[in-house]
Amino acid sequence: MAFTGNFMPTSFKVEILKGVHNFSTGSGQTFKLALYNNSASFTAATTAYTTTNEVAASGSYALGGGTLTKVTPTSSGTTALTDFADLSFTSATITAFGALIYNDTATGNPAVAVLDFGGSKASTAGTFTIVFPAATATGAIIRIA
Amino acid sequence: MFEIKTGDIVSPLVKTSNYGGLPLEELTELCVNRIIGVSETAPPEIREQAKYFRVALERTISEYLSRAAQSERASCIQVCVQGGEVEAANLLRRI
Repeated sequence: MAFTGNFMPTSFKVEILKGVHNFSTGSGQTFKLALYNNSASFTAATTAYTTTNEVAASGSYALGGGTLTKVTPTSSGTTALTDFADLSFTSATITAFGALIYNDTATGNPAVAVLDFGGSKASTAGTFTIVFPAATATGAIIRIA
Repeated sequence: MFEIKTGDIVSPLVKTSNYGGLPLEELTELCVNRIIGVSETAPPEIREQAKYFRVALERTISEYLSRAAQSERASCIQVCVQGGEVEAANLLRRI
């Protein structure tokens, strides 16, 4: 199996309506990004974080992934959006094909987004940085229109 | 009936490096991209102004990132020297 694209899990959409997730910077929850090898097979049906096929700990990358720095949700026109600061793992030897953003605070570590890197991305004793798209109405990583 | 749509997720960019951190140029680009974006649909005169501002921003950020790296390296060298690790300090000086 392999990554087959970016997905916003259906379970996440349900959880938005249930008020499970809080992306606010102050009172919000902790969201993490975990990296995976090409055996991971996440889809829109993915519901939660898993250690299966996660890349090994290396440098500043620990199992479970890195904590994302949130940007308080805002709006642009009629679109609501939120964003994260770019995330870097240093002194790391990593080969990853994609990532999963998940809520580390909510029960069961529910999935927020499946990210497909479009191929193998590797660092050797170096820095592995995930650069999020611009926080606009058409590009922000999480948008509701 | 109201319909709420979650937009398609735009793929993140991944930057990697081997045997060290990202080069200053890439860090500068990442920083500037976070601060300023120029819409393709913006009026030409606004686009030109934004591009000019972007170039000026790149110069300034690059300069200060470079100073920050030098300052951090100087601190690391002093930590090594005070800890009796002269060889390590000399290695850091050669970067």
